[in-house]
Amino acid sequence: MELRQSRPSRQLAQVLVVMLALLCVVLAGRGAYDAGVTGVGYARSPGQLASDRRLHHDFEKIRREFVATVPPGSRVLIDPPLEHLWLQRFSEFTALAGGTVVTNRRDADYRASLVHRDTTVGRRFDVELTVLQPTVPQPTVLD
Amino acid sequence: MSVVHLLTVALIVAAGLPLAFVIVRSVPVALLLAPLATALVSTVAVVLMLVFGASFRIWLAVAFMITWAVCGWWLRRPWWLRRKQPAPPAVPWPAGAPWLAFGITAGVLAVPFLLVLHPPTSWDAHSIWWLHAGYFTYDGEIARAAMASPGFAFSHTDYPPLASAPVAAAWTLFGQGYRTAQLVSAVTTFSAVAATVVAVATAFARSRPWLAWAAGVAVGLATWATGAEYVAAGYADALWSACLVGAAAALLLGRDPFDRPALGLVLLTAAVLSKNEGLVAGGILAALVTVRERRDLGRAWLVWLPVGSGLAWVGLSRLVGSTSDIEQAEPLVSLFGDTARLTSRLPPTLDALWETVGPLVAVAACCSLAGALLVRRRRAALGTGSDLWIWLLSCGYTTTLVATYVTGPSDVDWWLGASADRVTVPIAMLACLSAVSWLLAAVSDRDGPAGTPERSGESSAGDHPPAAAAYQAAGA
Repeated sequence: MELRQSRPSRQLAQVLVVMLALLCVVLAGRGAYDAGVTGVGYARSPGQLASDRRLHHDFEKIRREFVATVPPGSRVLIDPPLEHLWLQRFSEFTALAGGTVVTNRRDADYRASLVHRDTTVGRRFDVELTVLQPTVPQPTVLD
Repeated sequence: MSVVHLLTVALIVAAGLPLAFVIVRSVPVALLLAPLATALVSTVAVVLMLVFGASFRIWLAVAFMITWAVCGWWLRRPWWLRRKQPAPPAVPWPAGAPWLAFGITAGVLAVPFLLVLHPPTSWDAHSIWWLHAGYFTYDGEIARAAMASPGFAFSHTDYPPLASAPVAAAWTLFGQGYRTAQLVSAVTTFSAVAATVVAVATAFARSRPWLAWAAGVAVGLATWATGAEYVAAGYADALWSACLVGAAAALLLGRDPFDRPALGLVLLTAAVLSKNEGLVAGGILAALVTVRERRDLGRAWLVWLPVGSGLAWVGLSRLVGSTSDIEQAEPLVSLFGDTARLTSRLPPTLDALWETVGPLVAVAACCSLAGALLVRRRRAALGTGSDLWIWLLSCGYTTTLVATYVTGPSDVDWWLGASADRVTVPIAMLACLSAVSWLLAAVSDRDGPAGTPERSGESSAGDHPPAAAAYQAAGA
């Protein structure tokens, strides 16, 4: 049952509900406001994203090397083993090439190794892909 | 942004436009919904590829050809059968101007989506959604081998395919590239949020149109409430959350949800096919809709079709050989067998959830309580469904969330830090949906008598869950 109200108290009730609802909308909308401000900042000064852009370029370059070298259906050994970021990225690049990741060298068609070099703008990454079967191991260094 | 990227976005919109138009019967709204429709048809192509084999490219062509043919037949059907064209959904147009509503909705939502300018380097987007898109791009044999491969177990290959399928479709046509993937993911999520705006505005169709659309946009903007950086970064959390909340607005708050149920059911289907949490929350929503519509089960059963599609994916992924880390941790054994573990994991879980959405939910609960005590008659006069359904959905989902964290396999502090802000998006959006429903009631011109029927042929109490009916009967 709704509380019975006189006209002024009814208006007060409306104001109370409106204020609480607006407070909720403001709390829920703060993230969108911050996202908009940050996004406009990205558009105005793209230089702040330089390190992320370099990482993205490394991802794209290594992905292209995987797709160009590893035929669909191949099995790839990540050696030496990697952890976290690059283990998951190399697995991802293998999937994008249509391959699967294996942990046993005897099951593998290709060996993938992470290589890096330090530059003036930070560390850059690359891959060394080696054919393991059916021919004699033959390093194929791509850059 | 290159010409290829613009072409990709244009094609994602154009490909889904016929299906979107059949669903909503309005060109401006169909343009907003089209990328989500493209994602759904691409998902069908992925499933067909996994079941029957052959290349994804072939199934993609087949799925879209059949969809376009069926849409054409459906739109021409009244003309062939000499029947009257069915009425379009009751979307309230501000000032009678659909394109104005379209422009404002797209414009407002586009601003926070500027985060798409960040380079595509986000963790889960790469490790889960784009990795899956990678193996979907080839053929059934390669996709099945990848899903069963222990080397990809970290990628949760059991996750549903809707977030990855449109990326795979775009890659099939335009070649692989992470910028393309990020754009397609962001456009699909944008479409889901925009469709939610439409669903909320339609649910409040008896309010003033501008207010109904403003309420929809407010709920849409709540998508960024807890994990803003993930919305345009290629994650699926915002996608399924927005779809769930849109479906909840359409099916739980709508005046007669099964009069024109297409939009709500499509959003529910998208939610359950986007992520495992979406399937759980979608199941809760379907159960609530079934209870709400218990006097009309002849139509209400439709709500289980989307849930069935999600369960079908679970079955298919298990058949293919995917595994779930949550299932392997045996949550029920953990829940009832290891009390010390539970008690050590519960406090940090509750603390993290409170820090993420606690204040927002507390204010929304106060608003809901004040509204129920002070302006319920106005709400009844508007014909808006009880927001107790919304709170039951929120509580049900929160309970499953807490149970998952408490019984899950990962270190709880790390896990909460990595995901609590993403998985609480639907809680924030549902709180906002509840608040705007009371806001519209409070500013409404209508002031019907107590117990005004919310729908023809049904009492006000009939629309409320049993607890709410008891609450009303007790005169609280």
